[in-house]
Formats: sequence, structure tokens, C-alpha cells
Amino acid sequence: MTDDTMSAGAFAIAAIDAGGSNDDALMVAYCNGHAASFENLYRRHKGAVYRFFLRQMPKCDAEECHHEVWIKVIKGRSSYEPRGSFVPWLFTIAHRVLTDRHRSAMRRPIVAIDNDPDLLPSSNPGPEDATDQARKLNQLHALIAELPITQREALLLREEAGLSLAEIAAVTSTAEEGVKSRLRYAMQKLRAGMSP
Amino acid sequence: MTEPTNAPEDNALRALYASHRDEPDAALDARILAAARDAAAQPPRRKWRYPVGVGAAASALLAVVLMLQTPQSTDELRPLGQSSNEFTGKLDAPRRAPASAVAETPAALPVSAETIAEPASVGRQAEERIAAVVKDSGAEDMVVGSSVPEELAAAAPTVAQESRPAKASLAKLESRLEASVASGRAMLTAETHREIELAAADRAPVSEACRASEHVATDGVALCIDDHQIQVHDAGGCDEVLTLERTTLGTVTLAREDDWIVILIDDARIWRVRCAANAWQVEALR
Repeated sequence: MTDDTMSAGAFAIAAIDAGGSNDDALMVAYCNGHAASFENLYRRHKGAVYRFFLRQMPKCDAEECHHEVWIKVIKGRSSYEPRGSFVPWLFTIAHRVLTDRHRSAMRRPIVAIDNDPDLLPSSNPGPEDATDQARKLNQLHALIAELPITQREALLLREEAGLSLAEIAAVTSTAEEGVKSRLRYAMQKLRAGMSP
Repeated sequence: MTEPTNAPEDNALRALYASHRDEPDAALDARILAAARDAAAQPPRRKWRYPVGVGAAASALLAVVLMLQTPQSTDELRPLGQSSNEFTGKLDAPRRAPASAVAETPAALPVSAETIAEPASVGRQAEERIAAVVKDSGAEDMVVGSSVPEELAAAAPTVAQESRPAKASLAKLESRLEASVASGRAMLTAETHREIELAAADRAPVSEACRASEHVATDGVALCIDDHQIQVHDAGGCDEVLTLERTTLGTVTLAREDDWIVILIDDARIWRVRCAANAWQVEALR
């Protein structure tokens, strides 16, 4: 390890210890060759990215998209500008990957969801685990999967990535009011679907 | 679940949603982390933003320099409504004329309809342009010489009278041009960047000093025209070569009026020169 990478790593660790917004520091450290900083970043955000895709497509596709997003992060590290917006940047990449996937899916033959077990929600518990909680969760995931694409994406960016309305608007290139409407309609449908 | 209202039932949904968190497989994690480690081991790619910016600025500078060094288009210098093609088309007329028709001295040219018809259009156009410029400059009297040659005067009235198309009929202009051609006083029009096509007799070398590709000679006066200057040689009079500077590139139009040579450059400047007593007289009319 060179002096540069050591100092970059030390900077990243100091930033983490400070407890502030340190995604930027980790990314900068990784850009300077500190691989451990990327592992830190990955551990923090891998679940959000993965579930962002998993709620919108079959598991195998979600894994492909998840992999694609992180490879783009790795390759695009030199273009990253540390301005305290790592998560919006990360989910902007995810949004583009998702959009590309939707486009290519439109060109592929449609597979009936009933005939493809891979398209069922991934957290569908088996009959032996079907507690009430799991049944409700399964129902919630199914309702999310049935939402219109734009509403579903806005909801997941809010819930998984924790983005603000303005950030969701920026990531999806939509007006903030439009994002608010999408979230409102999505929640109405989920509430209606979950009510007994 | 997050919603602007943050209703209790929404919080219940949020809790339910957060109760189970799917994570990617360990194998997938390993693949991504291995790719990240490989990339970190390589030096980061050079950022191209600044070199691209410098390159764009250099290209823009080069474009400006080239633009400044490129000669102005002759189209910009033409009168409104007169395109380059239109003008060239008229100049093409004498080029198509057979050399035999103009091989002899101008004075010996046959004054026939076939010979004069096309050169007349060139001469008429050039003459009208000069007359218009002279009229605008208020120098009509200077151009119209006091001693009009008999043969020209007999054939037609003065240039000042005839150069007003509103007053002169087409027949009169044509008859005067016929007389001009017959007397060797036809208008000569030369364009730079185009090989001038004149009769062989008119293309005699001006002098050894003239290296320009375009030169004309008529009535003992030879002109050497290049992009920067016009040299006027008078074989019968002045030993000295008169040099007029050109500031623009475009059309040079020449006319003889008595012993004066009227030179119109690019519709912008007009000179009248003559050699008298082995000395050049130069009048800048505009």
C-alpha cells in the first residue's frame, strides 16, 4: 500500500469515526486506491440497491441489475464528485439500469407470471412459515409489485434509499409535485390493499 | 411507509415493510468486491475534462485565426441582388467565344452581331456599374472626358448621358458598345481567382515584373492584377509603373475613357489614371 492510499484510507476512517456524511469520503478514498473503503460503502448500501430491484423484477434479474449498478460505480469512480450526494448518485445509476431493463423487457416476449415461479415475490414464505406476519408481508410485496412503475419506483426510492422528494425528483427527472402525487397514490393503493 | 401525511396506518405499513430485509447472495457480493479490488489496484483513469476543455479552446482559437486569414467572399462585395453565379454567367460569355473571332487587334474586329452580342453583355454590365459608382461619387464630369474620340462621339453621346438606363434606350447603349468594341475601347472585366479569358491579342505579357496570373493589355496600356495590387504600364508614355493597392478581393472592372483608364475595384473604390508627359495622374474618385 502506498503512502497515498494509506492516507486516503486514514481519511476515510476518520470520516467514518466522525459519524458525519462519510459516503463521500469513502468514495474519495476508493478513488485513491483504497479498496476497503469500497467494501464499507458496499456494505452500507447493497441491501437498498438490491431490494430496489427485487421489488420490481424477478430475483435473477434483480441480481443482474444489482451487479450492473455496482460495476458502473466502480468504473465511474473517476467521474464522481464528492458533494455529499453519494446515495442520489448511486440511485441515479440504479434508475438508469432499471429504465434500460424496462426497455429491453418491452422487446422481449411476455412471460405469464403464473407460469414463471421466478416472477413470484422472492420473500414468499413456504406454507410451513406462513405466519400472519409473513402473510401480510407477502401481501404487501405483492401490492408493491402491482403498482404502476413510476409509483413503485418513487416509493422504493423513498423507502429503500431514503431519498427526499427533491432527490427523487432529480433521480427520476420528474417534478417534485409529480413525485409527491406518485407517493400519495401508491400509499392509497397499499392502504386499500392491506385493509381487511 | 413514508408518506407526507405520516398517518398511523402508514407507519404500520412501514414497520411491516422493514420487518424483512432481503440481501444479495454472498456469491454476488464476492463478485462485486473482487471487481472493486481489481479496479483499485489499477491506477485511476485520467480525467479528460480539462484536456478536452483545453482542446476545445485551442480549436476555437484556430478557427478564429483561419477565419480572419481567409479572404472575404466576393459575394459580400457585390451589389444587392447580384449573385456570384449571375455575374460569372455573364463573364462566361467571352470565354466561349472562338479565339479566331478575337485573334486580331480590337480595331480590326468585325462588328457583327455574332461577335458583339455576348461581349456586349459583359461590357454593358461593367459600364453600368462604373457609371453608377461615378454618379454616386458625384464625379461624372471627371469621367466624361472633354475630348471624346470622334468615332465614339459619333456613335453615341457621352457616358454620363448613356449610363442612366432610365434615359438611354437599350439600342443606344448597344450601338455605343459596338462602336467601343470596334475602336478597341471595349470594357474589360477581370475577376481575381479566375483565369481571365480575353482575346489572345489582349493577353500579351505586361512585363517581366508581372508575375500575376491575370493581366490585360489594351491600347498600349497593360495592367498586372494580383490579389494585392494593380500595376499599370503604359508602353507609349510613362516609364514608371503605377501601382495601386487593393484592400479587398473581388472584381476589378476596367474601362477606357479617352486617355483615362477608369478602374473600379470591388464596387468599392474607383480610380481614374492616365499618363501625361511621362508622369502618372491619379484621381481617386471614391
